Amino acid sequence: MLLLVVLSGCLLFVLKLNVNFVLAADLVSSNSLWGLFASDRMATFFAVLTSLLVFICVSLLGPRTYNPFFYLIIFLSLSFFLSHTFFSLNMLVFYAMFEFTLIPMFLLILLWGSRQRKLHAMYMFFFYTVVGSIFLLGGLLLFHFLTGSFIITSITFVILTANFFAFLVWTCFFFGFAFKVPIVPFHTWLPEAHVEAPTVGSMILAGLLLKVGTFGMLRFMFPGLNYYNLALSCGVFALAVFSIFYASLIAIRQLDMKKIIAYSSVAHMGLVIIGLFSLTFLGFVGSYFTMISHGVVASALFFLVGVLYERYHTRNLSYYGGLISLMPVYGVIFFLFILANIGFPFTSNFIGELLILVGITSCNIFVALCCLFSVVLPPIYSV
Amino acid sequence: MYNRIFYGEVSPNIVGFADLNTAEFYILMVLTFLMLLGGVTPQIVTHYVESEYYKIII
Repeated sequence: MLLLVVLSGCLLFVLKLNVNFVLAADLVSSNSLWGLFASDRMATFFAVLTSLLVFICVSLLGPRTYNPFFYLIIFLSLSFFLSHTFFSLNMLVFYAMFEFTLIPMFLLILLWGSRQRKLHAMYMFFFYTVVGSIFLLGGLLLFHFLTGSFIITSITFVILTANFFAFLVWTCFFFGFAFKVPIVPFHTWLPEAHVEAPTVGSMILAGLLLKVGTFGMLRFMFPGLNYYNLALSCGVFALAVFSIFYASLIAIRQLDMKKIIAYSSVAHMGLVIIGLFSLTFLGFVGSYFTMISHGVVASALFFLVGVLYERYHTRNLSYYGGLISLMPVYGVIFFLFILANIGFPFTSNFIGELLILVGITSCNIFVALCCLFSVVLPPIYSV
Repeated sequence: MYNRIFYGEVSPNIVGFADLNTAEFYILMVLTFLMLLGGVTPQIVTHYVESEYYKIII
């Protein structure tokens, strides 16, 4: 553990030097291709969440953990790649760093996964992500063709208006990130990956990797593509509302606890997309807050399911009746997080969902009504 | 199923379960604290990021 702390400290020190150096380089040449990292307010909380979740995952390392050294290497590399994804100012670096995070996740499911079906889950995870990456890379190349730059900040100064190539860029970016968020119908890899991943893998997947999709949308599609964000917002809302209802209704029928939380994550991400594309102040703040809050709540829920799975090796709901009388502390904490997941007042998800609902009400009342009805569904599948 | 959930009759499969150990308890306490902190004082996050709104809108 001490070694890990020292290594992390060295890593952060090198990273900080790198940031200063690269910012200086950026001032000299704004068109340089590699090595552009900086922290802004948008990235700060994601970096904190990354550190927290990676620290929790590493602290779960026990004497029975298979290959502990490799386990540490995987989480350090995950932390490195995710931090660089959030801090990158260059679209290509963002793309590369996000793709690199797939390697440790892939190994995590392969080496510490629970069942034989993990091969199928890995195949789906890899296939869907690669398809999304092809869209994203296409969008990046088109963006460079239009603006002559890969710098993320340049999208603030270049507003792409009605233009066929700009439409293609929007389409590529949206569908590229839709695979990673994920939005229905590109979501089928997520429940499979969650079910087959170890507890720590599910925590990282739900807490951080899903957020990279919405964070990428925030970075790449706003405000430069706002013309199409507004023009196509009805289509995005329709997809997101369908995503919320579909995922929530599917979750009601599930018996596997991890699948319930996975589908609940899809529904929450749909709400985040609605908040972002409402283009309102409250929608933006609510979406950001929901991303952070969902990162904490979903990770905790996966951790709690992992606690049960470690003891009994099943996640089937029907086996766990009367659990509160045997595990009272566990039961109370699980209940608190279930309340957070359904958006109960005084929990963090409530604030995010409320802000999104207020934001979307001023933008599109029909979508707001749909979102309001969708709030009824989480209590059904959670309780 | 109803009896097991609402009247506390315990499934024989789970008899003998241990409750949370110390490490698990403290990890969950940290996450619970963050979740409740976000619910009670959301301005910690919202005031910090609200200035970023100019980045997504012009």
